[in-house]
Amino acid sequence: MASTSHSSTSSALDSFEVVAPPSTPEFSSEHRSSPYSDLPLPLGRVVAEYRIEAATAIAYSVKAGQYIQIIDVAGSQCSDFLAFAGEDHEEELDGTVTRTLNGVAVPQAGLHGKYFSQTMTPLVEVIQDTCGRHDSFMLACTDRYYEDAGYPGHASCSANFNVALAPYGIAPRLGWPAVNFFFNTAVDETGAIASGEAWSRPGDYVLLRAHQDLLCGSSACPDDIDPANGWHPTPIHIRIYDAAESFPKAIGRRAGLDFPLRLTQDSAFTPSIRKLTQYLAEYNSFWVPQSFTHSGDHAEYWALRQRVALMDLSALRKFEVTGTDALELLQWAFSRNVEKLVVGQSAYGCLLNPHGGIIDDGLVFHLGDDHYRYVGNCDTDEGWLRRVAAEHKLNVSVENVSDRHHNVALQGPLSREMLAPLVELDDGFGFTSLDEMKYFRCATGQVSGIPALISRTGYTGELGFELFVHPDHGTALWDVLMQAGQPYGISPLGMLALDRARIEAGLLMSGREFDDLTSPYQAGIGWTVAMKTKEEFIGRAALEQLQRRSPRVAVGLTLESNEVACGGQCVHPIGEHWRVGQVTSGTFSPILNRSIAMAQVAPEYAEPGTILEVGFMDGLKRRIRATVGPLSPYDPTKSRARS
Amino acid sequence: MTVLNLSQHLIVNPQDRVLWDFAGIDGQWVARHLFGDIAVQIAPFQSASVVLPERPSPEVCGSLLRLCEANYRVELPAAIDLSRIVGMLKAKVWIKVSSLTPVKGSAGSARSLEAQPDAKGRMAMLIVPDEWGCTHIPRLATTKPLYSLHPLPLERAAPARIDDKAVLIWRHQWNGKSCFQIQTAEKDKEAIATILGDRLD
Repeated sequence: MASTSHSSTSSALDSFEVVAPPSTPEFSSEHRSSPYSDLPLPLGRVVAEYRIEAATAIAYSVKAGQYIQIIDVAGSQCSDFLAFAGEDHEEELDGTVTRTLNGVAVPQAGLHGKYFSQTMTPLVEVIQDTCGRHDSFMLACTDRYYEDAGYPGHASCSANFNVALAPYGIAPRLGWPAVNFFFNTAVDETGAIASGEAWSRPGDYVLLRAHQDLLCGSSACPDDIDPANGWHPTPIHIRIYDAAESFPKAIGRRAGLDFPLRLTQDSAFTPSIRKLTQYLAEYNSFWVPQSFTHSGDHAEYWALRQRVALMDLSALRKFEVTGTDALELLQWAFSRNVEKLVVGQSAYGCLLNPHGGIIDDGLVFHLGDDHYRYVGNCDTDEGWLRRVAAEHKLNVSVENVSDRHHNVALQGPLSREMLAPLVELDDGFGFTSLDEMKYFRCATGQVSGIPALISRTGYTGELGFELFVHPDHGTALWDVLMQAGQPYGISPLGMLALDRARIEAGLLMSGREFDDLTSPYQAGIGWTVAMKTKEEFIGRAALEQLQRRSPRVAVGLTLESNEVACGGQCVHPIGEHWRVGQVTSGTFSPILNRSIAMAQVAPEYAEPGTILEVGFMDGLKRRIRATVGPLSPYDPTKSRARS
Repeated sequence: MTVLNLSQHLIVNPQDRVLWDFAGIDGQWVARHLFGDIAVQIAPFQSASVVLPERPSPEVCGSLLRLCEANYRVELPAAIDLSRIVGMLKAKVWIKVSSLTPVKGSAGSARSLEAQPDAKGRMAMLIVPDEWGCTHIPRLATTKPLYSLHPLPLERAAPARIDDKAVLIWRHQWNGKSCFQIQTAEKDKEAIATILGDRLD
């Protein structure tokens, strides 16, 4: 992975380090020069740039195809944005049209990234965004706002825009409906629009691509009477890049307090996937397919359940745990007892915090003497495991190796038959062929000559395998599997179909079924806590109490209607207004032909066969009866995965 | 049927078939009940040839297009009144004729929310041969991301625009023959027909 550290003379930029996706072109020396020392380096060839001093606004022109980078120089500074197209600037950005066409409150890099005019024509498109928190509902600040707050004569973005746009013949307005970049607003459950200090750090930026020749307006908001700009307005910087440049779409995320900004990246399989679909979304800092063109989640789902499906799960994080105390570290941090795992065996469980909450769920692979690999979801797992190791003075190394191991899952009843002829397994794992590889076993080997770790695991409730390879082999592996799978009716599978399958199989998703305030008992994976076989592990004391009576426990619900409770709905006893739990995930199960849900309810209402009510809309307008059953209504004994 | 003078190969609003739309909470259930498992195995904008089991003899064949999770469009011979059949299921769906084809028999007798015989909001159907469609439709029509006409496989549909007019392009089989069916608002029928006809000439 190319890592570009943007050092700067400005201390304000010290925290602005970008982990760029591998596809980001290296900056040339020409690009690195900049007359401004308080900015991140240019992304490409700059054709114009403008410094907008605090509490002012400017107007500027861009050509179709050029890029506009709006940079928050010092952090916590809002920048309102206008764009006009047409000879007489008669077309302008329309927030309502934009929200409606995209189905999102604020466009984000990816499929729903365009800002439209009132004629539903795209004017600009978000290419990169390192902040992720903007406003598309409110006017640029107005004179009236300040007057009503007791500040007559205070500068406003709208008034500043009026001055900047006047030379172009654009009539003044009391308030400009703008895209308010970095303005931190949110609509709460009551409909109130709350605002607060901008989330942007020094150097955070939004990169837009102009779809037409545009006249643009940008401000450095003068608001110093509330927290919007951190009470201290500062400058905004605009860079215009050449239309010949090509920047990858990316969203910047920060995984933790001390983590650099990480831009969304492609996996080793994404180039192959992009040939099959444009419907990708950001997930855990990777671009992942949602569904495939001319296929769709239903068809992909049935390929999985009836034949074989291939999916990219490279967004998982991989951590090598090695050293003489590797086992002891995992015994402290991981919920399962992994002492008896033989080489070539893996176990599902979770990392726990001291109050028994789930930090992350994942697999521990035993790969050799003093050599384990934890595969989970969070970049922060590495630091956590190191902290635990340090606190217990363990001789162990923990290394994030995610950039060296990208993985696909080949799942479905025909997966073994399809994969077996392609595989050669290395010695030393206790079995020599795929047919002998049992559930939760793994081995290194080759798939059509491609070195791989082959694991009989999955996230679908089907027989299947996960294949980990170096990213250099990603395209080759994808092509080999898709080609070999043709006689078996293979289909690539996107996240929409995967979500349907994992709910049927009762498999947890971070953020839906658990977070770090949820215990394994509540999430439905109490069986992964080695309470009987490990005397000490992180969170044990808290979990001993929670085991006696978890405030809620996970159940499966089968609804007496075809309506889908997709998450968040309240669960009630029949006829009661008070709640006993809520739905965490739901879907219509094609194979069961029923609407099903995963829910977490008070243990008194978790007995199989209990009839409860799921509240739709406001929870009162319509109540649908639902029967409590196993968390995994599809193949609850996992017979298919074990077969 | 209406055959424009522009070409013998362009069929506009064929009178031998009708498009039915149904949707609602029980839309998927109704589709599966009527047409079997294939109804839930196809994804939105996919279709399949189906047989209406209520009419085993003589066998009634049609084509089922899924438009959303619980929304379907069915192409059937004009003699079949699907609203009557669906009405008997007492399901939570509405059903209506969506093509301009007049429904023969007892249209409007079904239990449905919007089974109305008037033509308001109904669509025109334009049909061109499959081979011609494969060559020319991708050049004439544009789609938004997620959809592609390069190529449009058989039993697939895609929302698109021809000369900035909204169409749904559906490549499927009717009576065992592949064709491109272009569904559009009645007001745009002539304009689309002219564009297609110019190419067909």
